[in-house]
Amino acid sequence: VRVVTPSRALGLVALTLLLVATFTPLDQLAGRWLDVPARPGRADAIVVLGSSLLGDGTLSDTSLRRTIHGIRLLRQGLAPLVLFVGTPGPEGSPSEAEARATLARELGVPAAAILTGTARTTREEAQQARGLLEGRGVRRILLVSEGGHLLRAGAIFERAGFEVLPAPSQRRFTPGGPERLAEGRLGEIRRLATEGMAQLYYRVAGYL
Amino acid sequence: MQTLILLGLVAVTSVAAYVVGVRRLALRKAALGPAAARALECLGLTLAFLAGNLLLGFALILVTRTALRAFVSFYLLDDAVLVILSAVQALVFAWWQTTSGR
Repeated sequence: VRVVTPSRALGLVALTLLLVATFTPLDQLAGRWLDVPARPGRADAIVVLGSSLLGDGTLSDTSLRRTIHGIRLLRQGLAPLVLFVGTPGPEGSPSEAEARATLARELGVPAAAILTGTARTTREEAQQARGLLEGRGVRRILLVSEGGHLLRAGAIFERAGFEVLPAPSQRRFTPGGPERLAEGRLGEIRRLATEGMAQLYYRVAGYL
Repeated sequence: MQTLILLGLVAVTSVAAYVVGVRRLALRKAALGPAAARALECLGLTLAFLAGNLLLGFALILVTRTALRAFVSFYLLDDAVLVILSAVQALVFAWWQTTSGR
């Protein structure tokens, strides 16, 4: 009987990874590596990246958090214009960007200060933003997304010709913050792994 | 550190299961090691099936995007259900090996 078989070794690797991801602060270390800190400043426009719509056409938690952050930056007077981008809506329903624009207007943002665009990937969002903002002389943007996403998104938007000021709506790395539960740590590692795979894909595809 | 409570709970119930297994069910102590090894194999098979499912999914999405010009998000693969289904695949495969005497 062989003591070490390939599947047994793979199982040991899986168990070790699970224990390390769940019971150590690896999520914080990985978050510190991927997280992009805020670089506040005045810009020509605020670009709020899309996330997703729920089944009933309302904004997901992530989408809502990004939207509110974009509105706050506009209210702080850091830019005169906000561009909401996002996914297409279900058949006959408003898109994510339109739902965000409606919320912004309801919260008192002038309609003239709002632009919307539809895109399904970060790369498409950069292309969409370029098409909508280039003619308005926008060069410097405050880019709103989660800290872990801004590393890739910032590079893509810089490649599209913008000067990017990262404006994270949520930080992955929170020094001194409350300890995450085991499931939360695992979820965070999963999100970081997903973003890592996305970065790898963008590099291989030549987008970065 | 609070999360270590979970490991403590699992340790206590594992010891209890060991006691019940040996004293009540008359299970052989010597069979515990091979059983743990078999569980590790199942875990390894789960990881292998998961990797295979992810790679196939990635390839199918790429083909759909390029050949059919239809958009399918890669985030479709970021679903915990795929892990559960991979674990089921691994269990069936492991039991198939066992019932085949391998």
